[in-house]
Amino acid sequence: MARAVAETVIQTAPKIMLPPPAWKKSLGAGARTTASIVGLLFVWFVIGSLPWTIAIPSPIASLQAFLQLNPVNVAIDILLSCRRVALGFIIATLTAVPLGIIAGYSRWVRELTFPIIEVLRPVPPIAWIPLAILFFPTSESMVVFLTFLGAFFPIIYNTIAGFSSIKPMYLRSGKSLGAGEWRLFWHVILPGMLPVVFAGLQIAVGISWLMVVAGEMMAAKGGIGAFTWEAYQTGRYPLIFVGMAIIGTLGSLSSLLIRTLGSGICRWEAR
Amino acid sequence: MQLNLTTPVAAIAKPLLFKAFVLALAVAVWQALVYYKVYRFGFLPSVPQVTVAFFEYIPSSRFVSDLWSSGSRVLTAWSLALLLGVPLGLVIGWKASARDFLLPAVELLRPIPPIAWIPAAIIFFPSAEPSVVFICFIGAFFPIVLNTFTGARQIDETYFRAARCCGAGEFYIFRHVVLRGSMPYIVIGAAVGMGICWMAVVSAEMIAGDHGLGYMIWEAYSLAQYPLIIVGMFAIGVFGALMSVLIRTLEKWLVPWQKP
Repeated sequence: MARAVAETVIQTAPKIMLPPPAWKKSLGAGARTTASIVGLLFVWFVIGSLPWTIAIPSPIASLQAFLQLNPVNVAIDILLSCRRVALGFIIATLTAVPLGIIAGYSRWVRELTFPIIEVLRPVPPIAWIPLAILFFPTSESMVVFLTFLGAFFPIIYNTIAGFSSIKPMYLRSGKSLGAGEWRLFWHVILPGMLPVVFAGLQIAVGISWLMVVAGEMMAAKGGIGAFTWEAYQTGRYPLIFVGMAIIGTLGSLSSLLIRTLGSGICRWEAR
Repeated sequence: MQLNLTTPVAAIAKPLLFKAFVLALAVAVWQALVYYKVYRFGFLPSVPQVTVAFFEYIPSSRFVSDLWSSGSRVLTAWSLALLLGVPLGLVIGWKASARDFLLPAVELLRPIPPIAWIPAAIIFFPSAEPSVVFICFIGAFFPIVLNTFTGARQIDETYFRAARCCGAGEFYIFRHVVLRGSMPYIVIGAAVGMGICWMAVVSAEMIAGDHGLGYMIWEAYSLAQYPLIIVGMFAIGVFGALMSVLIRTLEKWLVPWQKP
């Protein structure tokens, strides 16, 4: 009897209550995403065909220019930029994370480094370019310094923020369970701060890309920033947009890499 | 930012004095490195040179006009980015249909750093002024859109239902639930956007501008007036910091219900 009632209730329940099937939903979303991207290309096309924007090439012209490029040269430029970003970013991570942790533990280190960091932080990394050109003997080391500088401040800030975000109660419970300094660090502090550190790394890799493009446009030889700038200077305007697309793709790929790494390592973090 | 493991910072008798001491120490180290020409520090300007350049440049009318052109460009671009970015972020956060149509396009353009737009801006705009403003706009726009979007997405569904139960119309919900609920995130986006805007103005002026603080630094480099570079960096840092203080103050006034 009860079962029959339940079945009638299910059958007569308004259709609206049922969510649309998953395939239908994802198909609709996919169609809208495609529409969005096609719309963007269309806007670009319209902007390019306005009478007063003769210089803006159409998406098709840009695609043609891309296909006519020598793939080896482009790959060399891409790898050069990636190397510069990776070097600066890794050096920044290896210095800023330990420094942030030490500053978290030691009041003296904190008191000695914070005022300097606070004074330097509001200066945008781009404003360092002239000084960096003066200081570094080669343009290669200059660009790596710029990517390092761009990454350093977000990483150290998030390391310190992650360190101070750990609830004192966790530390006390760790201690009362008999954890020593090392185990407290390894099992409480490090897992507590890592998600925040990874958020910082993700910001940092974006700024590193920005810095490599700026450094290459202004002073360095080779790399995807220089590619874009040369396209402008030599009047091959479709290549400007090819360069922008490559820069955007590389930036989002490296951000994806950091995010995947972060969620792989911080498995305890509910997402 | 208070760190909690050890005794609080305030335990030091005179924190401000101590900070000044640390900064003086850092300046002394810089001067020593330049004076004794350690590695390539001999190429950098020394502290006395920078001090002289500081007192020549800061009171001059050139500083005022540079500051005015950079500042007005940043403010124009930032206001434009707020005017366009906040409604866009609210709509794509609120309405799923708008999100599906607009978010992919935003996500496609977002990873391109403002600097990479410079050549395109130069060939699109007839003069330097709008292209610099456009670069700054690009810098501020995406953080504002994404933070506003996040803000609108995190609003508790209950608030929408409650408003509807009380008979609120779409506009009322937009005004009092969506906008109000996203406000803390909008302020964060505005602050981040301002920071990136300030960075973008420096780079755009270095590459494409004709005056302003970024151009001043680049010109000082080209004319080998190296001490002026550091004065310019200092001015840019101070005004960047002032702008973020201004936004923090606005935050207290815009989102009084948020605890700092």
